[in-house]
Amino acid sequence: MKDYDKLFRDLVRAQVRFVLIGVGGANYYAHTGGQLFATQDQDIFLPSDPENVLACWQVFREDGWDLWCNREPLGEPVDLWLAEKVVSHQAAVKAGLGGDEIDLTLVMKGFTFEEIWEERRLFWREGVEIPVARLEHIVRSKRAVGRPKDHLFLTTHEELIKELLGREESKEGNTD
Amino acid sequence: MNDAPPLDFEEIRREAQTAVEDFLTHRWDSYLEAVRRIEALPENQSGADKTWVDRARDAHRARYRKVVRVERAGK
Repeated sequence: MKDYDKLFRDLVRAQVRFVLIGVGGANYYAHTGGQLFATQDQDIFLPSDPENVLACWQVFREDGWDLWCNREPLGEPVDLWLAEKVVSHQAAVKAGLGGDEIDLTLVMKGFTFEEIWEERRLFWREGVEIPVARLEHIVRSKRAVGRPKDHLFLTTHEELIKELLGREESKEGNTD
Repeated sequence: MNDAPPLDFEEIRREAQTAVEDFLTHRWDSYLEAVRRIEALPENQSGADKTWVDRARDAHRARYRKVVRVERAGK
């Protein structure tokens, strides 16, 4: 099992600016374990700031994660020059450790990083405050991306949201 | 058990596509409204403790990591 607790603590401690997005981010708005979407991946949105990107990579490497870009190891040395190149190409970097993967993306379709950052939620996770994108931003971006798997996620998510709201409404009814 | 008709994946794909188009065309706005209501719940405000989400996800993954494929008798 990966030590995500340590990873997120280290990212926060290193003052890396990041926001959790994607299905992994949407899961933080679930109500019960049964409403969580199974996903192997986590998506982390980073601003197009080479120094921040480098700081993020360094935390991952220190925590034992391998970094990949276009299915190849990121390369050495992992330095500011490389971070600038990745930022200028808006390339996605993947972090992998023992079968788990985290996408480090500089792009969230339909939004800038600052728009997402401005309205992020800060949720506690094992004593660390984790920035998570607004659920509305996550689902709007998924629609904008438009891949069949994103649209299927939204269709399924609609059912879940209805179920959740129905539960909330019956709770309110019971308190009257 | 083996008499079941084969799955028609093309038909399944068409049905899924129709469901998606119907959702995006007719129900998107009401879905977004519902999403905003979920976001407004007290447990979804900054400061909420969501440790349980990761624990539930980890438990789910740990359970499926233990799954092994077994050959059926007669194969």
